[in-house]
Amino acid sequence: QAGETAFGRDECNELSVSSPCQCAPSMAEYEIYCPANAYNVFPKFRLAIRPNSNVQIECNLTDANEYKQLPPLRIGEIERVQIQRCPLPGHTPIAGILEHLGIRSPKMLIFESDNLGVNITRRHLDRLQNLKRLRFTSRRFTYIPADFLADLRNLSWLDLRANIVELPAHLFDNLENLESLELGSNGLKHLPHGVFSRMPKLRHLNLWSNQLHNLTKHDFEGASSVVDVDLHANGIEQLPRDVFSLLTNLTEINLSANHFRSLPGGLFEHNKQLRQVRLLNNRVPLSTLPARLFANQPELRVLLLRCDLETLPSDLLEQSTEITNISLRDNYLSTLPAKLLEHQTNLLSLDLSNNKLTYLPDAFFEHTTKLVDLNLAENMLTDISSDIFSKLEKLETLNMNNNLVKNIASNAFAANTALLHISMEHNLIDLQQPLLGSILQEQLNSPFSHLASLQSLNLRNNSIMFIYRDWNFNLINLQELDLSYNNISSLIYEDLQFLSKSNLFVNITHNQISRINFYPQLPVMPDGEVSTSVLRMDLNDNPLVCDCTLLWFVQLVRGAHVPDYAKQFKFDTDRLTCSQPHNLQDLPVRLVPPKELICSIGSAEEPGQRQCPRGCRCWVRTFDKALVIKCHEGNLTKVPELPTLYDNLHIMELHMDNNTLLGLPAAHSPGYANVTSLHLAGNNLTHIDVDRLPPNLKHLDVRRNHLQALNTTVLGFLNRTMPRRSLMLSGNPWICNCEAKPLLLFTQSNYERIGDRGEMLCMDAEMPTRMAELSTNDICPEEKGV
Amino acid sequence: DISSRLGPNDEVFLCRSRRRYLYPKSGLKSDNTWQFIVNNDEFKQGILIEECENEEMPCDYSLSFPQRYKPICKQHYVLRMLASIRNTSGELDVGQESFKIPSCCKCVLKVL
Repeated sequence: QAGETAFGRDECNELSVSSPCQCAPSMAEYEIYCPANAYNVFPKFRLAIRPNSNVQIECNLTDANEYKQLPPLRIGEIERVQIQRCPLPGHTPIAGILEHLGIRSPKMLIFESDNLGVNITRRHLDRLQNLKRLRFTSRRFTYIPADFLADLRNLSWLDLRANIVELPAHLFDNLENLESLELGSNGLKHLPHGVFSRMPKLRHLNLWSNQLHNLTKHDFEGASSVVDVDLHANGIEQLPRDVFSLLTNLTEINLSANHFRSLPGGLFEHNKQLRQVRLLNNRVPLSTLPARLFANQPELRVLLLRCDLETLPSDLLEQSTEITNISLRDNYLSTLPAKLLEHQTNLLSLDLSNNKLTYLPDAFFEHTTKLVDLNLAENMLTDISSDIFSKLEKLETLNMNNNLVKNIASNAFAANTALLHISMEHNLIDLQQPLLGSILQEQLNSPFSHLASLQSLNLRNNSIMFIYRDWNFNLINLQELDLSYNNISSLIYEDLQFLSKSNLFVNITHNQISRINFYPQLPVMPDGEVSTSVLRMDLNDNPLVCDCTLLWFVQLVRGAHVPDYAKQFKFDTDRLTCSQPHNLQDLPVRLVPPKELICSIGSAEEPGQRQCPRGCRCWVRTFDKALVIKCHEGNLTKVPELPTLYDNLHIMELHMDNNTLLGLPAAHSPGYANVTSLHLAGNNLTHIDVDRLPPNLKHLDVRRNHLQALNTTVLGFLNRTMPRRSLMLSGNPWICNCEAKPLLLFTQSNYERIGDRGEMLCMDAEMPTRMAELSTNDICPEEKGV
Repeated sequence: DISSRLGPNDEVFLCRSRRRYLYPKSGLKSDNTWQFIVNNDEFKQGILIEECENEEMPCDYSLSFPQRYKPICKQHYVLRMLASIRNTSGELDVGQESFKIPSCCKCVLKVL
């Protein structure tokens, strides 16, 4: 029907044209500013209209006369009207403003202003008798007349917050439908007698942040229908034992932020419907609670207590079997009575964090068999015995961060097979079993070996030295393992073989890992099963020693080696650098050239076991499986006794440049027989015999010796065994006569093999001549035919 | 629990704020220098902002926080790109710059 539609786009456009206001759609709302174009200043009115739902009116007025500048509108049916920062419209009803805007039958009115202009009266609420909800707030001290609410018989919800010091005795007399009464944050010092007695439906009573220091049971006369009371921040020091005795339907009470130094026993004796009690942030220390304060409460579910408690009576909760949640966090409890939770068979969550607990009796959790969530963080507990958690078969989350735990009994968690999350960071856990040798420790199972459901295990900042095999093989649902800031010193491939079905993330940063040993390949699983999950491991910030043992890990990180198992791992190594050796220090692992990864071999004292000859340096280079022996500039006249080549190495390099060698050992001498590469530049060799050349020789450097000739057997050997560019022969006084003909032919047909062929000189001529420039005829003219 | 205090379909914020459109002619950049913003009759850049009504004042409903925590209302900002007038070595030109804009008012706990 025309004219009955809600405020919409057409009305908005028309308003901008025909009035001094400006209207624009904004999200699901229309925003109206009056007057328009008031850029950068606050307009007198800002209206936000959400059609059929709510209207918000904001004012910047000093004088109620300015309401005349509001444009007449036909906003229509509106559920909720919110008026903010506006003065009262003089002594006329607020309804007048709403009618001017065409707002019909609001159910809820919110009037919030610190700038009322006049005292509030009953007249201001004229023609609003259909209101179901009313909030009236002001920061000014406000005098409320006794008949203020006399016409609001339909009100079910009332919020009065206006620094009201004195509540008139009969203010609420007509509000027989009221269900919620919010009187928080006024200045009430006392309540008039019987003020709640004419509200049979009242259920929710909020009296927080007043000055109700001396409450008695008479203050709640007639309020037996009330189910929750909020008395927080009232500066209450004590309560009479019977103060709540008339609130027989009370289920929830908040006593937080008061000044209790003690509470009377039997305070809740008559409140047998009680479900939740909050006593948080008491402003003075309340070091204990009276005996049986929360005992015999058949409906009690939730207890939140934070008031500097030091001790608790053992019968505090007796017979209150339905309690599900208890928070005692942030108190000063140093221990707890063994029987405190004796009847709490339905407890689900217990928070004891941030206390001073040094010890819990073994029987403490004996009966809380349904406990799911246990928080013991920030205490001073030192041990976890085999009994303490043995009845907690439903436990899912255990937090023991920031304690002093050192000892965990090996079967401490044997019963807790439902555990999903364990957090024990910042303790002193090393998992070492005293009396057992360090070799055995690694073979043992950790105390977590039974926890097949475990999803996260946080052991950050402890003193753990090993990755235990039960973490690899038993924790098949593990998703997160935090081992950062521990004392793990090395990793082998087996440490990383997690059978977890999830994509596990292991944080092992800030340990002492110096070695990571990987294999080039691994045998295929016998059953052919291939793991599809990926292990991500953060290895950063460890003092890695970059030697030959790191080769496969480095090749893996560089992506140069991609074995079948590589796709199971993802390593975070962007901040993983070498701490040793000196020449690789601070180099990121992924930038280390794999040929630089070497391990030195020492020289044993016993000559028979000598690994590296005296005066020489020897090392293994895993990149090409080489044993390298360097005896530089030692004035050696003969090749020293050499170690034999290990089975797993293929190359043996002997570097003896710049000595004074006169000859070579027999080709089959132990050690020397394995040499594949002879570096003999700068010695005194005058001739080479084939029985002095190791059988597997692939490289020979004899530059700068005293060689004059090479006989045909040596040349035959070289022809058979030496690969490309493997010979260095320059710097020798070659004699180029007829006997050198085989050598010359050899150099001509082995151009590729001799790296320095161009520099070989014949020294027997008047002028040294390059051998490469000579032909056989030049050095050995054929006999002229007769 | 404030929702139960006020019933369903109602929300109350711990800090009171006001919203308005702003057509700034100059603004503060993220480097704390001021710059002119293009805003004239032909080219308008309106921004909806939200400002604390009582910045640095105690939050509403905050009386049961722990001791030594002072709940106060704090103005928060976002960076918004706006066309602005740059002065590069005497030459004026228009470019996009980000400016600090009041975005909302939140209750924060100050540790005393």
